[in-house]
Amino acid sequence: MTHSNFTGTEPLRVGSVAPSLTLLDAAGAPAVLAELWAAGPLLLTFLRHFG
Amino acid sequence: MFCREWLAQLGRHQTEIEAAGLRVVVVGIGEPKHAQRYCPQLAPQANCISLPEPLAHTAYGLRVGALTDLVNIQTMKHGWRAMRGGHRQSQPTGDVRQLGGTFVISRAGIVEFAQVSAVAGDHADIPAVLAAHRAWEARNL
Repeated sequence: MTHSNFTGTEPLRVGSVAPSLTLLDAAGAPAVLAELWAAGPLLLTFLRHFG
Repeated sequence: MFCREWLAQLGRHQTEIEAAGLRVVVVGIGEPKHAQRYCPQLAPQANCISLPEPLAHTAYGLRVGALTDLVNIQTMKHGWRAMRGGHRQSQPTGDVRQLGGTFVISRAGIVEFAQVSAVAGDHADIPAVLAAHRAWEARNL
């Protein structure tokens, strides 16, 4: 994984810059958050886990 | 179970979410095969992405709960709510102490809305999410 603007454990606040990270899509290909939001605003939700 | 409940809520509001111009991206902890197994039936409209470690969760400031954040009166109420909705727990991937959260990110990469779960089963209020996005868009046109 790569990341930028890594802020550690402080919750992000409204108006702050979102960290862009590279994760994996369901096919295992890289999915870069910044590329996703550049295509349009995101509702980005973090699950506790898949389960 | 709470994740299933939350994805079902997103699915029920999908039309409103799309009408607001938002796309749903779901970040899970696990491998792509877990996303493949989990997401199509629960969140077919969402783009599910993952990492085996909670690095993205940490980068967004999401909490790792203490035992009291995972088992308390509030989470028991949340559990009852989820079970009444027909949701059941299956084998979890990742650290079950990890809590979730929801953000709206603008096209420029700015946080428009932020919700960080305080306890398990603490979901964002979708109408509030959409209202925050509309207000942001109105201010930034």
